[in-house]
Amino acid sequence: MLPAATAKTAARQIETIIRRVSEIILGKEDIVRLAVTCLLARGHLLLEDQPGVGKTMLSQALAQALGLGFRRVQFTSDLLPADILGASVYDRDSGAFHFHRGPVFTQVLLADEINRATPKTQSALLEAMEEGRVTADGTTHSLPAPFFVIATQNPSTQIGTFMLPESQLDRFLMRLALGVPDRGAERALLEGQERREMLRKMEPALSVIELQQMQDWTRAVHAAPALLDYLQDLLAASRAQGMGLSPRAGLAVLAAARAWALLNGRAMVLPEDIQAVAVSVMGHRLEHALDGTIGVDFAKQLVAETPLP
Amino acid sequence: MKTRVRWNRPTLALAAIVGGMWYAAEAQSNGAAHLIALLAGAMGALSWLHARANLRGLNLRLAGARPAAQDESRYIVIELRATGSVAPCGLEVQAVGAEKSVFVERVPTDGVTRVDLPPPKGQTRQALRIVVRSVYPLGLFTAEAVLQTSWIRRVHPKPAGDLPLPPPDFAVHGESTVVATTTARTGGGDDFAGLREWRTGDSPRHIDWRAAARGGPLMAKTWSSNLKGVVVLDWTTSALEPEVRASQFVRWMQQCEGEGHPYELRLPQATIRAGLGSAHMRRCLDALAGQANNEDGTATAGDLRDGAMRGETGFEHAAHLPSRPLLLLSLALLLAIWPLHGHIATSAIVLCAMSLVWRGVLRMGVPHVVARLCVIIAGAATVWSEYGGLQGMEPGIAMLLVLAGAKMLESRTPRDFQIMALIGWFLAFCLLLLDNQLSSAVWVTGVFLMIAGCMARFRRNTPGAREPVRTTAILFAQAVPLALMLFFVFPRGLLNLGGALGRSRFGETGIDATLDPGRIATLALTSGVAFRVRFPDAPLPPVEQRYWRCLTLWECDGLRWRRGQRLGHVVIPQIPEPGRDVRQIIDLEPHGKNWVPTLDRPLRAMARRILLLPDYDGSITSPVQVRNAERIEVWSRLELPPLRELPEHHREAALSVPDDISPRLRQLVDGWRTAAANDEQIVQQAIEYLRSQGFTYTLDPGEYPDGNGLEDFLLERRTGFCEHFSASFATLLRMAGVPSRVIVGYLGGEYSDHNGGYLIVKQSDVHAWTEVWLERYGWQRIDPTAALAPDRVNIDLRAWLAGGAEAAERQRRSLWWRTTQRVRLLWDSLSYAWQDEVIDFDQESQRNLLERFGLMRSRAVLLAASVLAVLLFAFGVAWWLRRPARSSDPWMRAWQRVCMKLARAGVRPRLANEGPLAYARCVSQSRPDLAETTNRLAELYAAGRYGGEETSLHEFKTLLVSFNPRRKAES
Repeated sequence: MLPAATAKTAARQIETIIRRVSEIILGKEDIVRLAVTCLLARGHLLLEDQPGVGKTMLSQALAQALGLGFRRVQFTSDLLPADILGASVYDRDSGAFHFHRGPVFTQVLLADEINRATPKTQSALLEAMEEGRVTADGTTHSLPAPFFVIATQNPSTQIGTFMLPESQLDRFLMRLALGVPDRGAERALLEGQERREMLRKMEPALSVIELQQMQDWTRAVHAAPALLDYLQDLLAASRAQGMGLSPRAGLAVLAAARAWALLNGRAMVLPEDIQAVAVSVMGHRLEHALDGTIGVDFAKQLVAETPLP
Repeated sequence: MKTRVRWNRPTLALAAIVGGMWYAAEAQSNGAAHLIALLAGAMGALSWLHARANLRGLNLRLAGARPAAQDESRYIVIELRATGSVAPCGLEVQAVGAEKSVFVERVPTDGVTRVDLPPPKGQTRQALRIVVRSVYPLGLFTAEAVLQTSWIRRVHPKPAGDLPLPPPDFAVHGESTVVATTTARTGGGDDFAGLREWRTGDSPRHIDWRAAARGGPLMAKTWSSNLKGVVVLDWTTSALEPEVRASQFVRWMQQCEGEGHPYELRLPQATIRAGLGSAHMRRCLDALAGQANNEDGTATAGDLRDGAMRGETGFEHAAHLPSRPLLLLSLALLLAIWPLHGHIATSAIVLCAMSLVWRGVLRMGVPHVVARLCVIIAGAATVWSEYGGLQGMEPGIAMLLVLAGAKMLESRTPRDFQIMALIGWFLAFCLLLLDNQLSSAVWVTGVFLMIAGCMARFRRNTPGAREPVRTTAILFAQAVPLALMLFFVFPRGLLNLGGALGRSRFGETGIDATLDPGRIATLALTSGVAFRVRFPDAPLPPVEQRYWRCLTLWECDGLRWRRGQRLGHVVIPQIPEPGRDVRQIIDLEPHGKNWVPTLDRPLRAMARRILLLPDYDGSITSPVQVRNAERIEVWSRLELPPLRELPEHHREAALSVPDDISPRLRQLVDGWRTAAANDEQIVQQAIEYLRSQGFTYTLDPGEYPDGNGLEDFLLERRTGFCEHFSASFATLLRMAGVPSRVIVGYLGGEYSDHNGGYLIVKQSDVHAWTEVWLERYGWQRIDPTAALAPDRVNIDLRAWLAGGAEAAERQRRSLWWRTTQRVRLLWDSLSYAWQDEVIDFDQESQRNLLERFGLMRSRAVLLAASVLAVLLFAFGVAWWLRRPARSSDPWMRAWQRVCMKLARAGVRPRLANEGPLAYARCVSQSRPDLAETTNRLAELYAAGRYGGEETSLHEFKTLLVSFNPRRKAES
């Protein structure tokens, strides 16, 4: 069990990360918080929004603030799995095949416009996300830790996209939409310095060791029986009609809520924590739960209508 | 969700039954009947509260997503949740407008029950409403809670109509359709695209003649290219009725889907671009559902809600009657009518019992209506022949039994079950009108509760007796104080019937006005109590003095004696002297005759404030028949009264003997007369004769013939009981010229030290002895039994029969005897108290009691006061029940109190899904003065309920006690 004082310390450190990232992504502090939560919970993040709202900038800023390596892959319809994972190339000098590591071998990977690629390529990445390693030509290569994927997705209505199937949406802990900044933030953005410049100057707030320590603390945040009752009520309510949230989704909600609690300096999860992360965690998982509904709305409705036990 | 409790038909039935009970109780002036009537009323009234409490804390909400439109047959999922510590039972959930409902047996506390509700029929224009009804626990009231949702459920129109599909329009562009521009305007390509039904206008070249030749219908071949026209379904251009139009559109959409035509839906508000496939179909259906709904002006299910909600719950109308509850109820009813045996004509009881067994135990079907009518007619006929009419109490009860049996025969729905149960309550009550014993009151209460348990068990619709028993026990425990309070306060005599019906149904028991041989022995075998006596001033008289005089018999007919003609006499009242004379208070059980028991010899008695003096024969008689239990105050003098002259006509009557005395007897008596010098010696010789001639004292002497019974007894068989000895002894003395008479009464009595000490005199203590006129003493008591069986005077009959004084003494020392004796005496004291305090509690006792407390006002004031008290009580409890239900978690309970205090101080109440910190933040914003305490409380609560470490509730509670947001707001 996590001591309350440790939680307070962790919260202070996390607050620095958030502050630094928020200096670059203006007016989106809540999204940044959720993104950090996702990272702490060892989950992957799916950003779904129109181009140009700062998806790439957010990923880069996060990587920079945490002192992690960052790579970016632009997904297109002709991208192949080897382009991401890497390929074995024949080395004429040694007379043997050498594995050339692809862009996936990094700590923060931005998979841009993931729904433009073919399902085959998508699944290659998703497998790497789930397992934390890559297998090529019978050899297994471990990915560096921590491994954090931020995928972006265009809105589904656009033509020429391959929508991620339900089972693969489930691999992402959260789905967030950045949205355009409000007028004040946009003005500050227009007036301020060049963002890339700021990014380059940003100092890491945390070492990798500290980050991993914090991820371990997240797992130790206490979830009381009363809270689990509430979570189960939520899950049950989602399943009342047709397919609802899977048990894995329940685990995801709990993990995210733990991280959110730590972020707020608490060593225990409160219903507020679940409510704070519920829409982001449950929204994309409920997209196909019932025809004719929008996942996010359904998730909001669930949160609004499920009473605390 | 607001809960209402409304009355229903069983409520009226209950009111009628309680009214009937009260009427009968008033008519009989029977306190026990009053008590049971009040108990029935109180249990009914409390079931109102229980019905309300049952739904308290029930939380109902729609579960899952609510699409704007869905298939009509799709079930509505709702979630039932019991937030309080009470688990709601026997719920019937129904969507307003739906035909069917769902029965939920029980919603466990802290659990969720999910129910698939059948949807309302047709379209609903208003938001969906869901009704929860419950008649738990006794079915006497309907509790109802209505959930008003904000969800307007629209249903997809059903496909209908047979108009031809509008021709495709090739100029329309669809979202995912490539539309032809130059070629194939004629509607066909080169690829065969299947067959479709032939329509007028199709070219005969396209008909599939081969298929037609095989006997199939006319089918037209279709050709297609990838280029297709779009079928445009335009709402505004169609002239059909909105509802019909929507259905026709759906049919066309299905045809388009089948044939692969893209279709476009144009509605006044929206246009759905052309497309194909299930998702497109769904979008169109949703849009159509909304459109049809907007224009639909006819009355819909939602408007009919009041009509739908009026009726009784559907569960009550269920088509079948579960067999196990029916069996249980039948057994309870059999127990209710069993003790009526002996009071009511056996034929009626048997008829009723047979009906109960037929339907309830054997589970046979409902007989034909003619058979049921025959049962009623046959029953009525037997009652008529038995009683010679249907007027009166016993014929009424007998007729009720017949009708109850007939009702049982035709019971098939749950409503009949309810009626049978209420009839059962009344049948059980009837026993109290016939029998006033405490034991029957206990029996009636038991049966009463058993029937109530049947009702509760039936409402739950589930096996298992524990919960119904618990519910019934709680109801009973709550009803008893209320019934008792009303028993003492609710005004009596409002109907002014004044005990029109007699309470005694004994008739033939007790001492009669004649002494027939064998009569007393029969009586001595019965076990009932004759009367109870208290001696308020003096100690108990010695055992050998406990002769309770009831009747004096003058007219002699051998072994048979009668009271005879009344003789004139001069009354000389004697003033009782305290200290010398014995005062007794006698509580006499009703026996239907005029005699009054008194300790020999009575001086005067007071009954119902009337002074009674000894008659010519030294006994006291009541001017009216003793049909109710009476309390009589008697003064007696144990020593002999002053000698008075025996009037001549008295002497004559005391010497008359029948003419047919046999010569052998005359010879015997003549012998005594010649040998004796005076009357005392004759008496002595007569006693000596009985003692020496081998007479045996037995309870079972056998029959003696009418004619020469005396001779047979005295000279031949020589076995008899006290009556034989007394009668023959007195007859012999009369023949010998000594004036004598026979006294019938009781001897002895059992002492009980309960209730301040009293004597119980039973029917088995009945006794007969003689009185002889002696010149020197006057009427002198001579007990021939004492001469024959001296122990009989000192011990009671049973002990004497068991083997005399020594055996009785031995028996008395045994543990078993002492235990049973103690229990018996305790029971008797309870019966005595019951008789005294409950049965005889009438208008007068009520007035005395209330006067003692200075509460006596006019009857109307009393009535108004008691009604007001009950109403206030009910309102109080109902108000109390309005509070939110208690949670089972102590932390949650404490937190709820915080929230309640805040809500009372005018802060926005906490939402059901609002966490502690979020609420505290909201409170801090609206009331910064409360921020500090509220935040602290919220933190404590969060740590206590959700934290990992054990936290004591103590600090929270201390903080809670001093937390008073309302006062803070005022200051």
